[in-house]
Amino acid sequence: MKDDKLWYRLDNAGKLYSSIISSRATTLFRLSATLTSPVDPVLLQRALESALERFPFFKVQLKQGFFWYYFEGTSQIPKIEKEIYYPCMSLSIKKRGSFPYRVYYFNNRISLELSHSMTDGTGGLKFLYELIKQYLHLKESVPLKRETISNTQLRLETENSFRKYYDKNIPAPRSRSAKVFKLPIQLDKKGYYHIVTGIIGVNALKKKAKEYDVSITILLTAVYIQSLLNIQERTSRRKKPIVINVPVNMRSFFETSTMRNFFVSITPSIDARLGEYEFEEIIQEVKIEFSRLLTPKKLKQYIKRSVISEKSLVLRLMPSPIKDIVAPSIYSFFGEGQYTSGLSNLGIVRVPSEMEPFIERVESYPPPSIGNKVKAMLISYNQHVYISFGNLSKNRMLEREFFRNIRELGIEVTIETNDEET
Amino acid sequence: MAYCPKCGIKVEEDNRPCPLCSFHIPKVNEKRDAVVRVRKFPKTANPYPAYLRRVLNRIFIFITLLVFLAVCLLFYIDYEVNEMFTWSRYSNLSILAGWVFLYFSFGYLQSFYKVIIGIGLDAFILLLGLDILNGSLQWFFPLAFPIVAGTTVISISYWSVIRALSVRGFNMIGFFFMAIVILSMWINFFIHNYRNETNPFNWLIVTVLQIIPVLLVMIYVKYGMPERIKQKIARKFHL
Repeated sequence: MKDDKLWYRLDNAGKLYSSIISSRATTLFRLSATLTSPVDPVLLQRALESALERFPFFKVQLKQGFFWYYFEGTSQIPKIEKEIYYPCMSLSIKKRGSFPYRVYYFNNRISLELSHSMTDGTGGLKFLYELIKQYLHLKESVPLKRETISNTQLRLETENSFRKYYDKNIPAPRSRSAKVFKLPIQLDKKGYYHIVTGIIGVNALKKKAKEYDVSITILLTAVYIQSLLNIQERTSRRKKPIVINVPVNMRSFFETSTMRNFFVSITPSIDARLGEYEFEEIIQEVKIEFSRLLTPKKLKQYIKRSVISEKSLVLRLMPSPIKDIVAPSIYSFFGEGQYTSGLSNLGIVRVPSEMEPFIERVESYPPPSIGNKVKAMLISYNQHVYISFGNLSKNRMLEREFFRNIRELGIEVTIETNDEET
Repeated sequence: MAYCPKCGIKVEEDNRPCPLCSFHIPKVNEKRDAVVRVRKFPKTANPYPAYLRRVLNRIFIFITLLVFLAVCLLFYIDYEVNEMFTWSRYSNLSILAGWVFLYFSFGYLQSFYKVIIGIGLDAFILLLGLDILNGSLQWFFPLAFPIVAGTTVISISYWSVIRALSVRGFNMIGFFFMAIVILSMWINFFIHNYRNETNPFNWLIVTVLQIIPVLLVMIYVKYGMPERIKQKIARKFHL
C-alpha cells in the first residue's frame, strides 16, 4: 500500500471543525493516561510507531483542497514530545508536516491531543488504548495478543458512518433559536487554557444517581444546569434559557466500528424565564429530554441535520479559503451561540486486568472554544470519575458553583488544576 | 489532604489559596514538608508572543523593500523626465518619513517615551525638509516647530502623569480629553499668532469654555453613571 497516494474525505463534523481552527479554538481535546512509573520517551516513540501500524488511518496530515480540507496519507512518523505548552494549545495542524494530533509525555503521564476534525472521543480512546498497550508491552512486558487485522476491518474503521445511516427522506429536527445565557467572563491571553479537574468516587455518584433513579450523565447535567441557573440568578437581571450541549456517542445506537467522528449533540435546556427551579424539577426535565431523544429514530433525524449542512450547494461550491472566513462566524452564531456550555461524557474506560496495575488514572480535557468559554468533559476509570473543566478565562465561577453543588449533594470531591506552581 | 472551608472540596496541598475560590486554606499537615511533590504540569511556554513578533517582522521587512523600491523608482522617473530631481524630493522625503513612523509604531522599541520622541523627531525632519526644499524657511519656525514640539511634550507629560498616578480605566480617557483640549488650544494659539490675530485674553476664555464641558462629562462618568453601563463601556473598549 502506497501511503502517500492515500487520501480521505473529512466527515461532516470534521469539515466544520477544520474550517474554524484558530489560535484559541484549536479544536484539540486531550485524552491522557497517568501510569505508575515515569514514561520512557524512547519506548513511547516505538509504541507510537506500532500503534500507527495498527491504525494506518492516523498516518495522515490535513491538507487544504479547493473546496474542502482532506486527509492525505503520509509516510512520515509523528515524533512524541515532552509537554511544554498549556493543554490543547499551540498546535497548528494546518502547518505543513504537522499531524492532526500529537503525543506528549510528562513525568508519569502520556497525553494524546487530537483535533476534532479527525475523530471524536471514542476514536481517540481506541488509539490511546492501543498506544498504552504497545507501550506497556515494551516497558513492563505485558503480553500482547496476536491479532490479525483484515483489510475489510481497516476499511470499516475509516468509513463515514454519518453517511451510512443518513436517510434522505427523514425530516431534520426543528431547531429553535433563542438567545441563551452566556457566562459573563472575559477571555484570557492567547495560548492560556485553564483546567480544573474534580475527582469523584464512582460509587458515591452512582448511589446518588440511584436515589433520583437516573444515570450519572443525567445527574451531572442537572447539577451543571443548576449551577448555571444560580450564576444567572446572581449576575444578570434579564433571564434567558440555559442550554447545554451534550454530545451523544452514536456507536451505542448504530452498528459501526468507525474511528472517525460519529456523534450528534442533543441540547437539554431549562428556561429560566418560567420561574425558579428546584433541583428535582431540573433532574426530571433532563431525564425526560434524554429518554425522549435517545432513540434510534430520533437520532436519525439528528444525523440528517448534520449531513444536510454539507450537502448544500452554496457551501459545496464555495472555495475552502472563503469557507475558512465564513465558517467561524456561522459556527459561533448557529453552533456555539445556541448553547450556554457543553458537557461531554466519554463513559467508562475498561482495560484488561494485566494492564490495570500500571495505569493510575485516565483523564480527558475538552477542546477550547470561544463561544462557550467553559466546557466540561468527564471520563471514568477504576472507581473514579474525572470531571475536567477547560476554561479560556481566568474566572472560575462555573467550576466553583458546580463543585460546591456536588458537595451539597453530599459527594466528596478532590480538585486539581494546571495553575502555575511556585 | 486538606479541605477548603468555603467550598468543601479536597485539595492535595494545604497552606495555599483554594483553586476555586482563592480562600487561603490553612496549614493542616505538618509532615508534608518531607514529601517531595511530583509536578503534574510542566512550566508552560507560550509561543504566541514570539509568533506575533515573527509575523510583524515579516510585514515590516516586506514594507521596507517596497519603500526602497518606490524611492528608487520615483527618483528615476523624475530624473528621466526633468533631467534633475524636482518633485521626487518631496514625495521621497514623505515616504521615508512614513517608513520611520512605521518603524516606531511596530513595537521595536520597548519604552513608550522613546517611541514618542522618535516620532516627534521624525515629524521635525519631515517638516523642516519640506520647508527647506522650497528654497527658504517660511512656515517651519512660526508654525510647524511649536506644534510638533507641543504635541511631543504633551504626549510625554500625558504618559508620565498616567504612569505616576497609575491612572486606570475611565480616568485614562478623561486625562486624554484634557490633553487633547490643551493641545488644540496650543495649536490654535500659534495659528492665530501666525495670522497676527493673537488676543491672549480671548484665547484664555475659549480654552476655559472648552475644558468645562469635558470636566462635567468626566465628573458625570465618575460619579453619576450606573455601574452596569460603566462595565459595558469598559468591556467594549477594553479599558
